[in-house]
Amino acid sequence: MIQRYNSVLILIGLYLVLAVISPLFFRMQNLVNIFMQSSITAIVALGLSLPILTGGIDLSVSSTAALAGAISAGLIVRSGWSVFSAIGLALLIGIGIGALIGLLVVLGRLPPFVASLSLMAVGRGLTLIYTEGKPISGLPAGYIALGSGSSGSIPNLVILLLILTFMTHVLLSRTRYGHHIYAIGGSADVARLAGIPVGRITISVYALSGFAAAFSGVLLTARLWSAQPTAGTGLELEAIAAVVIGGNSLMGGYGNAFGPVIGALIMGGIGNGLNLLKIPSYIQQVVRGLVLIVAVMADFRSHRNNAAAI
Amino acid sequence: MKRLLVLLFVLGSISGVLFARGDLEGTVYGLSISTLNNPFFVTLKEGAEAKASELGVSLIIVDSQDDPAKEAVNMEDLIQQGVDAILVNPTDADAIVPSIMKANAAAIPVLTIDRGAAGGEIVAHIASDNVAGGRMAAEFLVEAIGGSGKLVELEGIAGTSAARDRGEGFNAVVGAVPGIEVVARQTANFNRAEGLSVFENILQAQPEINGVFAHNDEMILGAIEAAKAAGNTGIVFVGFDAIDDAIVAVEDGSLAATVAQQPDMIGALGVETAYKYLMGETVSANIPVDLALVR
Amino acid sequence: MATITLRGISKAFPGVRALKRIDLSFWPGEVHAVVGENGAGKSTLMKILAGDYRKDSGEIQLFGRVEELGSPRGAQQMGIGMIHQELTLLPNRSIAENIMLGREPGLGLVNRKLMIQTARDNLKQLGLELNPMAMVSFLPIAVRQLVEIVKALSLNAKILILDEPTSSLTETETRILLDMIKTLRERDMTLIYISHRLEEVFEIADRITVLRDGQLIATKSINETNPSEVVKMMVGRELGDIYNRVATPKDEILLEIDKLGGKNFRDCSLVLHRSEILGIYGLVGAGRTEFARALFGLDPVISGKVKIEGKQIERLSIRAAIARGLVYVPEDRKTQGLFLELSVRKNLTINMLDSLSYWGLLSFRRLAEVASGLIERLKIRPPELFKRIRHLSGGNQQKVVIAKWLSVQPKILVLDEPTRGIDVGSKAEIYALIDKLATEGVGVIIISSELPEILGISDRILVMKAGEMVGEFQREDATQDGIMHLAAGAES
Repeated sequence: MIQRYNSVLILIGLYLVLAVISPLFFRMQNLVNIFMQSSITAIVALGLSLPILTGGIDLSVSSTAALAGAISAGLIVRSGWSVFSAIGLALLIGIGIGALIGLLVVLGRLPPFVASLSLMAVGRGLTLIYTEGKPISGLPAGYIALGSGSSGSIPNLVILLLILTFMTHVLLSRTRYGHHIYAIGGSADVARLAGIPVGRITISVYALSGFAAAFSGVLLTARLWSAQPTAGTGLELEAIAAVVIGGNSLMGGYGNAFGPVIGALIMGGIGNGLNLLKIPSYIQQVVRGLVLIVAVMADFRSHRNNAAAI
Repeated sequence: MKRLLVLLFVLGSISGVLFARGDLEGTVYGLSISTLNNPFFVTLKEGAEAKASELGVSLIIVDSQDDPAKEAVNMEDLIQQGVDAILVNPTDADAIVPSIMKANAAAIPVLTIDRGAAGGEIVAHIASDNVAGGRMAAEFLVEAIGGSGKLVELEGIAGTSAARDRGEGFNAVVGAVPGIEVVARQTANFNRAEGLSVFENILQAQPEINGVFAHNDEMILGAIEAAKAAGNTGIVFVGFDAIDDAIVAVEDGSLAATVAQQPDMIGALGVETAYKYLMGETVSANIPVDLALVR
Repeated sequence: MATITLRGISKAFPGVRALKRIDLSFWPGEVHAVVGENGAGKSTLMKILAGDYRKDSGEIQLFGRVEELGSPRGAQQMGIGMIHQELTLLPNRSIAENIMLGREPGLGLVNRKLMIQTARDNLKQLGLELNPMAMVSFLPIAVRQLVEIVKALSLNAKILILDEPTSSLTETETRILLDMIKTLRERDMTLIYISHRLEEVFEIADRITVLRDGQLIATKSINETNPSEVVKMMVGRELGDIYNRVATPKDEILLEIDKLGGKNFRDCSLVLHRSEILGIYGLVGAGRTEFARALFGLDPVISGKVKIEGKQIERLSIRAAIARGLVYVPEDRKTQGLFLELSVRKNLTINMLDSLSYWGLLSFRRLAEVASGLIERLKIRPPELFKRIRHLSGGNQQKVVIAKWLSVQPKILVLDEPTRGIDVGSKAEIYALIDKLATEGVGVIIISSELPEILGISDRILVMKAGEMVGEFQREDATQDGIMHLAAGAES
């Protein structure tokens, strides 16, 4: 409970500080920008938070995003598919990659780190093969609107993020499935003893993570009007950072759907603020690292204090 | 928690004081660079900075780290800051288009540097003059072999602008010299290994060759190896790009010359062109930057 | 009709016969205590009942029908609930979610109202007024235990196994738990109660079963026996002459501890003389290991003074301890004492690599010499330098653990459960080694929960209970009964 407020407080505190330092920061358009800029990382982090809640990890999200973006774009541009079916197939591929990781973890007994790391390499390789290393452009307006358009003054990306956040929240807090995810993260043995199908749920959380990654890949492609073979490089680390900064436990069993989104907004705010402050890019990277340490330490301390209070 | 907020505030204030140099008054250009992990672009940035301080304008430099998504974010942040002009060195010609359109919508003029864009309204494109570079290489080569003889041209990947422009400049010169004959013209795809094998084959068919021009250094270095292996000396080799290996080869004499781009001049010309445009002068849509011969 | 009847239950682990033909019945409405020394087979028997282990032979009847429990879940479905020593609640979830785990009401979407209501009803049935929404990690251990019981009961448990349920509870919390157990007895449940604490057992149990060395010694109604008799049955085994003592303590004081206090122990004082073997006896959880770890600088000390050879140690640390010649051989050799995957040679020489290096490089020849010497001296079998420790027997592993400390020439050796899980032959060798070290002038402290061992090897015995030193015996006037009574807190 306290943790949840903690990340919200960090978010508010950070934004207030930035608003004081840079007059441009608190403009409505800039805030909308931050929300939009953070939304792709946030969607990946939402999906990724599910394996993490079970005590696992999924490193393949970055290359799954690139592959889904490339395949959806390629099918439309090269093979003349409709936007709807091309994106549908790309999302199915994302689910498939995720399910495969889940199977390797459950049946192959591979550590999630290894299973997803391997598929990260496979995914990136497949993307380069499919794109022949070159970007795919010439996407129709219907596709592009997903990532670049807006409804009223709210970017579509933001609307999609809000919908997905709400859905994940309901899934985690209101459904039996969600409760079982927490149980597995708390203790897989206890969960098994309670008759929870641990294997099936484990596979499914990776599939959902793959889905979110693929969806974000499509959105990224729509935002850049082209599918880049190297798209999403480093996205997995950004998403993991968002999950952790948002206050979810990397060990599993603790967290909620809002954490990863707040974490992404904190990171997005930092990046935007540093840009507005005209801080040179080399120094920006140092500052980002420091803020990550401070945010996670604050969280960890409050967690430890709770434990001591028992 | 309170302590953390204080810490954040202090950190923020310190960085604000340290780095928020200059105010938003006066003319400000945004410069978006594809990556600052590459010395070429770092030099380009330094050229732009020097020119900016000479002209009394300030620069906001953002680094895309070769990631088009980060580039889009940086471009949005530049637009948000209301800069007077944006100089962009895109990570990718297609991926930059939506960002340029956003700048267009905000009535901020955009200039592309080194790499072009596939769409959007561009005030000017500033890049190395590859045609002139090809010409420069040809003139050097013709002189080095004494005005007549047999030449070979190793071409880059078909369809790339670099291969097209460098070839065009080269052939315009050699075609006008009566004693020069280009006995072979083949592609080695900008690749050292292919340069080697392609030139081996050429040597089989044409043992007597006086000079070779390749569209980049990788290919010419491959060709030099092939010549060495065949025991063929006395060929004049000319490359393009002045990569580190090529500079070494020039120093030890195996490579006669290579054509170097001048990134600092590209950066400086970019800033200068933006400045002229904003002062109401007409600028040409394509601004070629001279190259230099390293010999 | 008996709820559970066990007929001829046997179980063997590699090298050990853990249970030998156990016949036992449990009745509805009884609290049945199962007692025995560590290693007597209580846990094995309970794990078989809870479906964790499979029996090798024999049959289990539940309500008159022969059943195979199969798995913990199978046992649970047949009405056997187990409250483990380590609780199995999810700490970051609410009480309601824990109780209803795996049985959340509602289709797809969880009906939270119903879930909370059901949990509240379950809690109320046992008279617990707890907020079902409270997060488990915020509850005291005792309350978590009650929640665990509620969870088991909500699964329709008819038989409840409680494994050392009071080991981490305070006096008051123990009261609450015992009252709860009495309530459950009135509801005709079968309660199997495993405990070291005889006072609790005699307060709560209707019948008592004593196990020793995997065999059932007796099952008696609580009215027909008394604590002394139970203690006798628990420890009653002949002391062989595997303890051949030669060393005699000198007057010189090696170690003086004054009112040392730390986590789980307080005000512990002792004196150790040159060539003396001092036994510390205490039941599991008495604070013996914590005391020894703190002495060696592994855990923080809150209060007290330590003098080695008359000189006070300012700050206890592992470095300080080793520098002054005090070494500690931990209780669990597999996780704390050995590198299981490394060779005998590497394990033996790990503490003296500095003295075996020349110009920063190790001399393989010297390593081999030193290791061979130790193998010879301690009769480590097989005498192979490059055998992986994992493949040695428990006794030989233990010898390696002791041997690697001999290389630093200790003056004070603290051994924590040095013979746990090893066979009698190796035990005798280890006792002989300890005695030999004592004749060489080393002061030895042995911590053990095996009474015969403590009685056989020690010159003097200290008894620890609930973190305090509660008594001292000289070798000649120490008796099993006397020690057990002090340690288990039964009235003498």
